[in-house]
This record gives sequence, structure tokens and C-alpha cells, in this order.
Amino acid sequence: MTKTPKFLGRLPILPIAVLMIVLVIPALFADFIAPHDPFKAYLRNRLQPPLFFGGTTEFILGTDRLGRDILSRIMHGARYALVISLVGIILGAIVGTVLGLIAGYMRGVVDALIMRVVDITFALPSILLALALAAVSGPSFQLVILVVIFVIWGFFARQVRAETLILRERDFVARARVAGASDIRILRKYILPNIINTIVVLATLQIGVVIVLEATLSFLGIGIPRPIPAWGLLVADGRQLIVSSWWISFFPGTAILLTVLSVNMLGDSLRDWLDPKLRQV
Amino acid sequence: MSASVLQVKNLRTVLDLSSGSVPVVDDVSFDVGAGETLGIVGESGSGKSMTALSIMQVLPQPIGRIESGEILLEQTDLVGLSDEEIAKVRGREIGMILQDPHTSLNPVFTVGNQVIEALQINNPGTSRKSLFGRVVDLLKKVNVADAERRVHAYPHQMSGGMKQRVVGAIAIAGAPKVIIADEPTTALDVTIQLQYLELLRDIQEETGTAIIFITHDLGIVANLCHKLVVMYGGKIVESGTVAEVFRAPSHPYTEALLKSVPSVDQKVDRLYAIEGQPPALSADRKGCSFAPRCPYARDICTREVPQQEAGLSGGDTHLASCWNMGRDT
Repeated sequence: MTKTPKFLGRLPILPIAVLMIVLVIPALFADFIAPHDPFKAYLRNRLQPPLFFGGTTEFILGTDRLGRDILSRIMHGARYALVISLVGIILGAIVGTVLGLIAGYMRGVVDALIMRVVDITFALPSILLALALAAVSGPSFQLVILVVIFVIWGFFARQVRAETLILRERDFVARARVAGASDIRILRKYILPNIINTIVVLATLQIGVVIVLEATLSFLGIGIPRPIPAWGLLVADGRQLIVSSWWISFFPGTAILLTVLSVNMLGDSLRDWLDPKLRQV
Repeated sequence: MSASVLQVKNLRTVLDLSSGSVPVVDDVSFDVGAGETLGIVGESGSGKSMTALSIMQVLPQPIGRIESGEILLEQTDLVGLSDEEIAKVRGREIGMILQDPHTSLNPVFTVGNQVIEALQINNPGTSRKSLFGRVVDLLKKVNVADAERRVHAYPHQMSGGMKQRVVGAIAIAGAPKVIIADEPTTALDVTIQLQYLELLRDIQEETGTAIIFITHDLGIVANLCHKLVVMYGGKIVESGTVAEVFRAPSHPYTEALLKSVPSVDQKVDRLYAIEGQPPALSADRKGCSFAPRCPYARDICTREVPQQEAGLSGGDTHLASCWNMGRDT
């Protein structure tokens, strides 16, 4: 029994490779590797088709209505996808997990109160909320993250509460209590470690939701302000030309698809790794 | 024996159900001294586990509460202590071993980690590294073979008997004065049961801790315990030393329990069983709880609660509560 994480031995190569190529490397190094300035309009090269569809090597994935290079825009957009998903989901997961733990462990009035707030956030249209907030403060990066937290924390709170309700009745929690463990210690050492895999899987599943949410907000003009090339905006840009110039929406859409798919696959591997019963011995 | 370490006096625990307050432990008194083992015997629903939960004050919330009585640990009354004070008693003064070893360990940590955890609770502020040597010692003390390697094992990699030994190690980590073992061998197979009982006895001899052993197996009681209380319907129906009670069982329920133990040298077609069901929990019960199942039941048994009297053995500590003690058996 060695201490090396078995995860390293069974690294899911494909999803990690895809994520690196589509999301992480462009997000970090877009300034150096992008072939063109994402904001520069090559007006003479408007609506260039991609390579192999009549295009040239200069604009591998074609250009949009203003002649901006799609590849460069996707690369720069990766940064926003990464930051918004990471920050929004981590903050949303923390808020939801803490409140879910409290609700499930304490039960009673506190539980009822927290879960009614969750119900309210589910009932309230998030788009409407974003519109109201945008009307007050103007569209911004912070606003998008705030809306993301607002939309996803309830999923975490519900799931964590449900699992806490089950776990708090388990024998090993009772045993910890008769061994003198405090409530905080029970939550930290006995309940949280047993639901962390659920949280991780849930978080990866939320990435798809968040990217689509960001796209929706951007599309409505209350998300990331133009001309920042967020992926959602890029998809929205090609909406009217989808029949004649399909590549404008297709390639950003593919980037979203590959990212969400890889992250979900990675989430599965991560869950297996976090569950000692599935860890290979 | 020596002065009692834990003394329970007239303990009454109720569950507040929608149908009213139901007593699950009713006027229970017993005491146990250092180096002594007390057996609490009874079938499911007799209140023996509830007695243990009352002592640890981990009754099901919010419905369970101790209504009256005293639980004296040496001189301190545990009833009415604040949550922080009682948390210090758990593990440090009174350790507990639960019934099912398969569910009483945290599945996501190694067993070594969990023993360290127990040590840390009892010695706040010590680093995990400094406790590591003591973990191996503890595991060796509970006869975990190959302890140096096993500290890194996860619970699911161990057998039931091995896990129950780890639970035992956790229970003795705080060097408690009293260990409450709630049917610790029920989930183990028979050969392992014996080993585990011997282990408990060894620990007791070494540390002088008092043991409260909850079981429905009279064979274990005869082997391991010094004295016993027999519970039925939340009440103690008979108590005394093992010798007294086994020589002259004075309550019909004890008698029936002893008759239910199969014997190796007698060939029987059907094993003996007590007819009927244990009493359902209800707020208003009259007379002796055992009366509906009792072969000697008379009129008075269903009307009035019998008082404790000296048992048939004539021993000093032998007590039983029955209207028919002078019966011909």
C-alpha cells in the first residue's frame, strides 16, 4: 500500500488532452498563439469559409461578418469561459455546500428556512434578475459571476442537504459522536468527505449549464459586454447567417461541446478516484 | 467488588411521540464497578439500547429525553450536563462499541487515520505525526495482526472481525473508565465472537475498565459477565450476580430466556420460543408488561405493577419483580 495517488496511474488522457487544447492552453496563451488580433476586422476578408471549404490557411476556421478571425476569437474567448466557469462554480459550490450542510445537519427551522430560499431562487427567473441587475449596474463580468452563483448554489444546497440527512443517521457518525466528536468535527471529517465526490461530479455537470447561461446573458446583451469574444457571444453572432456561413456559430459551438463533454468525462474519473471503494488496490 | 464507577439510579427515558410520552426506559437502576462486567439482557425493544443511549446522551432527537433519574459517573451526575461537558465525557470517560462493525467506520479514511482522530479528540492540540506510534500500539493491543501495514488499510479492505477490533481500539483510545458494548458480536461469526469476547476480557484485566455488555445471548453473559440485569418492556425484571440468576431464575421471563438457549447435549425437535410479541410502546400500560406472554399470569398481574423483591436464590443482590415468585416451577 503506497501513498502514490492511483489517479495518476489511470489518468483519463483523452478528456485532459481535449481540455488542454480547447480550453486551458488558449486561455493562458491566447496572446501568443492566436494567429490574428481577435478584434481586428479584415473587411476585405469578410465571411471567409474555413480551410478545406474553400478558405485559406490564413483564416483556418474562417472569418465572421466583419472579417474577424474565428480561431483567434475562440482562443481569446476560452479565457472568459474558463474564468467564469471556475470562479462561478467554485463560489456557488461553496455557498451551496455550506448552506446544505447546515440545513441537513441542523434540520428544523434553519433547514426549512434555507430550503425555502432555494425554492425561491429556482422559482425566480434568473434572466429577469440579471436584467434587473444589469439595468442598475450595467452589464459586467462581475454581474455574470453573480448570476451564475445565484443560479447554481441551490443545486448544491439541495444535493448536499439530501446526502447529509442520510449520512447523519449512519452508524459511523453515531460512533463519532459517542467518541466525543463535536458537531463541527463530524461535519468536517465524517459528512463532508463522504459527499465531496457528489459535489465534484455536480460541479462538472454545472459547467455546461454555466457556459450556456453565460451565452444566454451575452446574447441578450446583459452578460459579457461586446466586443469581448465570449463563446456564447460568438455563437450568437452567427445566428442569422447559420445557413450561408455556418462556421461562425459552428466552431465556437464545437468548442463549448468539447469542453462540456471532456469536463463531464473528467468528472466521472474524478468521482471514481475519490471513492476509496472504486480505487484500484 | 470495588466502589461503583457508574451508577444509574431510577432512570426514566421517554420518547415524545404524537401519541404521547412513551417510557422506553422505566425506573432502571444498576451500578458497575471498576474491573467489573455488567450484562444487560433482553430481546429487541426491551429498552437495553435506549439505556445505553441515555447514558451517552445521544438519544434520537428531538423526540428522546431523560425524564428523571441520575447517571452518576463516579460522583458527577451526567444528567443535566451541558452539551460541551457531556462531549468531554464521551470517549474520554465512557467509550462505546456499536453493533455493526461494517457501518461504524468512516468509509473514506484509513483505519489508522480514524484511530488518530479518536486520539486527537482526547488530546487536543497534538500533531497527527506524534500520535502515529500510539495508533500502531493500540491496534496491536486489540490484536490486529500486521498492525504496521494495516494502519493504511481502508475499512472495506478488512473483515468484520478486524473492523470491530478497530472500533474497539477507537473506544479504548481515550482510556475510558467505562466501555459500553452494544451487541458488539452480533454481526460477527461464531469463532470470531469468542476471540472478541476474550479480547474484551484481556483489555479489562489490563486497564481495569468497567464494561457494560448489552446482548440477548445468555451464553455470552454466563461467560463474560459478573452480574446482569434482565430488561423487559423498558423495566428491569430481574437482577443479580450471574451465579444467582442462573441458579434460580426468579422471573418467568428470565426462566423462558434460559429455556430458549439450545443445549448441545439434549436432542430436541423444536427449539423453545416465548409465545407472543414484546409489548408495543404505549403511554398507558397497566400491570406487569410480561403478563400477556406469561404462563403463570394471574388476575393481579394485569392490574398492578409488581414490586422488586428478593430473588429465589436467596443471594444478597438478587432481585426480581414478579407476583408469582413463590410459584412451583
